Amino acid sequence: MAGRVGLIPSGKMMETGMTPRRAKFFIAGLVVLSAFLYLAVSGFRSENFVYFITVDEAATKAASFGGKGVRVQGKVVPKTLVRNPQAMQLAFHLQGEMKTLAVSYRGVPPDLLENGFPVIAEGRLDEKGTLVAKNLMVACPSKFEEMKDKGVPKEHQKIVDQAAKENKVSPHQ
Amino acid sequence: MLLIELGNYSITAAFVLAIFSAAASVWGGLRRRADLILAGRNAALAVFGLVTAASAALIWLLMARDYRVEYVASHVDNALNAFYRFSAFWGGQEGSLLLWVLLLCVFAAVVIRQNRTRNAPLMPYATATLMVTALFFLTILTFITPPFKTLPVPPPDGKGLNPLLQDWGMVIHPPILYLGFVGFAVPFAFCIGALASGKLDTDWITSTRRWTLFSWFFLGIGILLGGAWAYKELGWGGYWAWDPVENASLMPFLTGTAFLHSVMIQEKRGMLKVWNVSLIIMTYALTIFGTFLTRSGIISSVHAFADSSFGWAFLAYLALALVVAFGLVIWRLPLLRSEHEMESFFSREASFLLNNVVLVGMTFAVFWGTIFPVVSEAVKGIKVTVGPPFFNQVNVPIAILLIFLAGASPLLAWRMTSARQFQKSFVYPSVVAVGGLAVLLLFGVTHLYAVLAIALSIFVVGAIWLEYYRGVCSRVRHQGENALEALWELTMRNKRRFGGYIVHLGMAVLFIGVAASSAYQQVGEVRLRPGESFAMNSLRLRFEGLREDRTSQYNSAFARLAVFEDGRKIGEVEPEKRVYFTPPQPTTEAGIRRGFKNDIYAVFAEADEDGATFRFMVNPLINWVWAGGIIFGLGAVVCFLPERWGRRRSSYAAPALAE
Repeated sequence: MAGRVGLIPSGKMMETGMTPRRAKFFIAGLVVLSAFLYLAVSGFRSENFVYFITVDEAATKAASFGGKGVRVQGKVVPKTLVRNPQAMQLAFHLQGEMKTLAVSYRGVPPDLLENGFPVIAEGRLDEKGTLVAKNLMVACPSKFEEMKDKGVPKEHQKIVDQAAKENKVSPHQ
Repeated sequence: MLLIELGNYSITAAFVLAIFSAAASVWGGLRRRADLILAGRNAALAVFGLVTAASAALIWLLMARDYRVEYVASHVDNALNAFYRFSAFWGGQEGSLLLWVLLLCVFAAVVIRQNRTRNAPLMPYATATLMVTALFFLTILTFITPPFKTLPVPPPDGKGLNPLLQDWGMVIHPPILYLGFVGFAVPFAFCIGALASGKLDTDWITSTRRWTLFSWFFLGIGILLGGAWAYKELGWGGYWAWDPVENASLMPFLTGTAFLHSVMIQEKRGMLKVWNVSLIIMTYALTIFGTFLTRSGIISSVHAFADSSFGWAFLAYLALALVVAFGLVIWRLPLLRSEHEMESFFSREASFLLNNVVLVGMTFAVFWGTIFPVVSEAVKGIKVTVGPPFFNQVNVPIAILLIFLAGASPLLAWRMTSARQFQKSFVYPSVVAVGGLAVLLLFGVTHLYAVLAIALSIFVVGAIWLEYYRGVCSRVRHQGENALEALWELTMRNKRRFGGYIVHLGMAVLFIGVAASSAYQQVGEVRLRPGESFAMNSLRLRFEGLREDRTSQYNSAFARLAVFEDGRKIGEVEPEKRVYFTPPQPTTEAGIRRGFKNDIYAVFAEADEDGATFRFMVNPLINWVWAGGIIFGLGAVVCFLPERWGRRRSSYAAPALAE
């Protein structure tokens, strides 16, 4: 609407009313605005929504969020992480206040998954109540104190050790 | 201890003097008291000196690793080199707010110096506006997050800098964005000065044209650098995720772009005055809002390392600024009448207006999508985001219209384009674009938006080519220059116009890159044993094995991959996993083989005795995005250069003959 301000000098319009030229621009402006509005409304559909819910909500109200995009944050329940590198899959449980939530994920796992930092999983709940995650992120701590206490991340150390074993072409030899 | 106290006192004194400067300037302006105006101006310069002293003190403490200061202990450690210690100045909350004020005070000092004799009626209010802005940030620095807070027991070592941020791109990214954010305060201050003093001709616009360009340039470059960093470091293979913090910098860029265009209509035709003041007010508000989004962590995002309690202070200041500014606009409405009326759809001004509506429409869509989580949480008690699909669905079609306008607008005449002119300027670019369209379809490019965006970008290039071609030909014919000389002279004699074309060219190249890389990205996730390979169309990647490497800061494992195209080896990529020693943080570094046609992007996920897992991406034409960004920057620099710069000496003598 603001676009019209410059076109219709305030006050002047009152005196002269709407000339055909102004009417023409007014209609053109309306057409453009309705097109934008249409785009905005059509993009604003519930399948684009992602609901931020807690682990407990996801675990107890799975039915009401079924098929909707959800985003859950929590810590991985210790020893529940199962990796299947052949299929590039992994599964784990997230700890809520009362309940836990099963999460499955296929793809490249984020760094620091096993270090006890909060994990953010985004995806949809399937009929069994498992969160099939499309995105998996680790909420990175901004202060490193915590990180220092955690020690060396083991999944990475394993890879570096593996590389050291087959190290054939290191430039530093 | 001396430096810490110097810092503390400087900030407090700057806070007090900023109040004085703003009050004296406004009072002096209203009462026409030269002594008060002068006092206000000098106080502003004193604020500049004090803030500079405080910043120098903080930088010194960081360089000296003085862990008595909490800020130093939290952002620096013994292992960090001098470069990153210096950059820690803006690495945290307090320091980055101090940088904000520092830049603002530098700008204020320059503006005051530039306008010692010029713009006398509006300068007191402009100074006051800048000082009120500084005051807001100084209030936060004095009362909420003092940067020189000390620790009772200084730790032996600091906490250091996140390895993800230890990248030169990430180090220069925040100050560059801030140059853009803060710079828009200057045209805003002049706008307020013009409104308050009633001197509402185009002086406030022409006086701040370079400031606007400067801010717009840095904001644009800052956004691009952010994208380039995300692409290189974050490992998801993209450069833009509609993250709230990205949106925060995009919104003022969009309204700033609209402002740059619409002020031309006011300069040429005396129209859109209300619109222009509204645009710069919106842009200023969006820069404050952007700083707020980044710094308050209100909408959780990967960027919001900061969580803070001063959200309400920002919102209150924002509300105050908007109420005062729009109050002034309403008060001055009678002085803001248009001198002319729009005459034809096929005129430069109508197309600029449409461009403005498009840019502001995009801004609203981005704004709504960005704040929706907060709104839904407040209204319905559940936080809902709309995510990238919403932003793309709304903005991609609008952006395509914008590309068309970037090509068409410069071809249209002011007031009205005659049928003859129309034919003369539109036929060639349209033919070229249709040709491009045919070629795209022939090669099987059928993604609707991508085809449209690329064909229209070709239209833009055609239109600019035509303008240059005509200009060069005319100079060659009339001035006897060779083509290169003519090209240089043409650009240097019409910096604003041809600089603008270069910007549009950069935008066209950028949009071709965006369209191709988003519509035709290929992704594959696979597990490979050494010797096995993975094919994506004509490309094949063979896993050769792992290799280890170590530096003084980290250990890393590389996965060696050979890249083949049509069976011929064309290179290698080596995605990497790193483990930093202190803190023991792992990072994943993508292996990227950059190319004109496409980037091969490999991420190394896991490895064990008998193989490794990868995520591979082929990103077509992605380097066109960066190339377009560089062209955009060059064009903006051309626009910014002084009028006289770059012209040949010989033509100084007879400028009249040149036309």
